[in-house]
Parts: sequence; structure tokens; C-alpha cells
Amino acid sequence: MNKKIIKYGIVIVCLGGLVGLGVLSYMLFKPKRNIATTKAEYVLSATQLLTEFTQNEKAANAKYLSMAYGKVILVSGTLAEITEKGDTTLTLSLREPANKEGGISCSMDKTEIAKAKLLKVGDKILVKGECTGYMDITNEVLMVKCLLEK
Amino acid sequence: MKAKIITLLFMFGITTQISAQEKLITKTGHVWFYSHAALEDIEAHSRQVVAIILPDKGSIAVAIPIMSFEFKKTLMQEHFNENYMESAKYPKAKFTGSVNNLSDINLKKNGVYKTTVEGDLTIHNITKHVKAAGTVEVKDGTYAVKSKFTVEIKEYNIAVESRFAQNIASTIEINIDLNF
Repeated sequence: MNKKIIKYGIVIVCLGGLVGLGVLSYMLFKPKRNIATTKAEYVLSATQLLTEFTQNEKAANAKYLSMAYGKVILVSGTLAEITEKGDTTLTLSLREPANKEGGISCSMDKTEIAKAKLLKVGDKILVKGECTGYMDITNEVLMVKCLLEK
Repeated sequence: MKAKIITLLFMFGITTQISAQEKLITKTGHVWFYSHAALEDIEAHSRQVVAIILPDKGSIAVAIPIMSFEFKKTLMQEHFNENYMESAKYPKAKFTGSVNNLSDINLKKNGVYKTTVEGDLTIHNITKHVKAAGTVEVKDGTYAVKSKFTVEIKEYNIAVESRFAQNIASTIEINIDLNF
């Protein structure tokens, strides 16, 4: 009888330990969100996205940002500027030729930099990434972890 | 004739005004912060910081998209956005201020200039008047602006649960690195 209790006791403690380890490793090593495999929640043009933020920033924040992350969106537009900084940062700015200022600023994922460098100003491109909000001082909507879809 | 002179004067006025409004912009500024606590060191980086400086006025505006901060641990990043910064509600931190010793900085002469900047810092929808020391490095027409300062998280109404008191420092060190 006593032996049985000890046996079950050991099994329960071991199981508990395993569950604990599982939870701990999840907390420590939860994988980063993969933009490539995450479905875009909104597909729209750069002009449309900028208009939504300039007309009502609060409403646009509520639409394009979720609690833990910016939502993944797919944005089409004309490439107006390529900004490189070191080997790790490359930003593509989408802006329609008629406009002087404002647009969408896409901070490219490291894996996309080589591909993005081949683009030319004026190219029509399609970018998938996480929206991080609107900067009024430059009149730009920002995206991070961007992938070049086209 | 008189009208011509007035027009000329007027035009001259406009052109000087334009040159006085010359501005320096960066959209790839780097901001990172450290939290040194008993149980854990936390570090996060944003490379999507927007900053505008008007050199003639010595005014500076910085905007930081909070959701662009990247952490090593995914869960930390989620907690940061969801529980502490409420990033969906308050997606950016802002600073607007001015350079205190503008006359000491010669943007046309290479060198490292010490400076202090003073202004309003808004984090988590709370605005505080702050002062920070930094440097401006002038090198052949490019300018590297650096600063390091600390913020008390409770001043910005950021509440850390007592069970995380050993994991998250009450004073956070913030580093800024802007290149124009």
C-alpha cells in the first residue's frame, strides 16, 4: 500500500515537473511571429492606408493595431525612396508621384535587404508587414518586419 | 519703381525664411533601453525612430513607434505592448524640445560637441518635462546625435505587478542614436 502511494507520488511529481518545464520553455523560447505565414488582415493601397490615418488616427490605430502587435497588412504602392543605414537597416518609402510628402515607410526584414536593394524608384511594389502606427511629424504610416511580395 | 523695390525686399524676405527653415530628418533613428533588475536584464531596440531638427531654431522633435521595439523574448515583447505600454491605445512616445547651448555647436566644423536638450517627453500618454545630456558629432556635413538618460516608469503611470518586481527595474535606461 505504502509502496503504491510512493510510486504514484513519484509519477505525479515527475509529470508536474515535465509540465512545469514545458511552460517554462514556452515562456523563454516562444517563437517570434512569422510574417510570411501569417495571413494579412487587410489588403489595400498606400494612399488608402495613409488617408485612413490622416483622417482619423484613433480609429485607424484601433483598426490596424492589436494588443500585442501591429496587425499584418499587405500594401501596394509606388516606391519613392530607398534609405539604407549600415548593413542591417533598409527602409522603402511608398508615395504616389503627385505627393511631395507623406506615405508609407516600410522597415524591411533583414532577410529581404538584398532583394530590396535591386528595386528602383518608381517601381510598383507590394509589401507585407506589421503596421506600427502613424507619425504625424513626417505624415507617414510605419510598417516593420516587411517582406517584399512583388 | 517703389513697388519693384518692395517686391524685391519681399522676395528676399521669403528666401531667407526658406533657408532658415532648413530641417534635418531621419526616419531610421535607433533607440534602445535597458532594465537591470535583480533577476533579469531586459533590452529592446527600435530602429524606426523619426526625428526632425531645425538647426537654426535649435528645436528637436522625436517620435518613437512603441510597437517597433524588438525584444529577445517574444513573450516579453507581448507583455510590454499589452500590459505596460498599452501600445494599441498609445502607439507612440514623443519628445519635443530644444537645444540649450545652440551657439556652442558649429555644424560647419567637424568635432564632437557636448549639449543638453530640454523639453516635453510623452510616454504612455503622460507628459513630463525632462532634461538630458548628449553629444553632437559633426563630420563632413553629417551629424550623429547621441544621448543617454533614465526614466522612472511609475512617473509615466506604468504599473508593474509585484510578482515581476524582481524582473523589471523601476528605473529604465534609454539610449538614443540619430544620424542625419
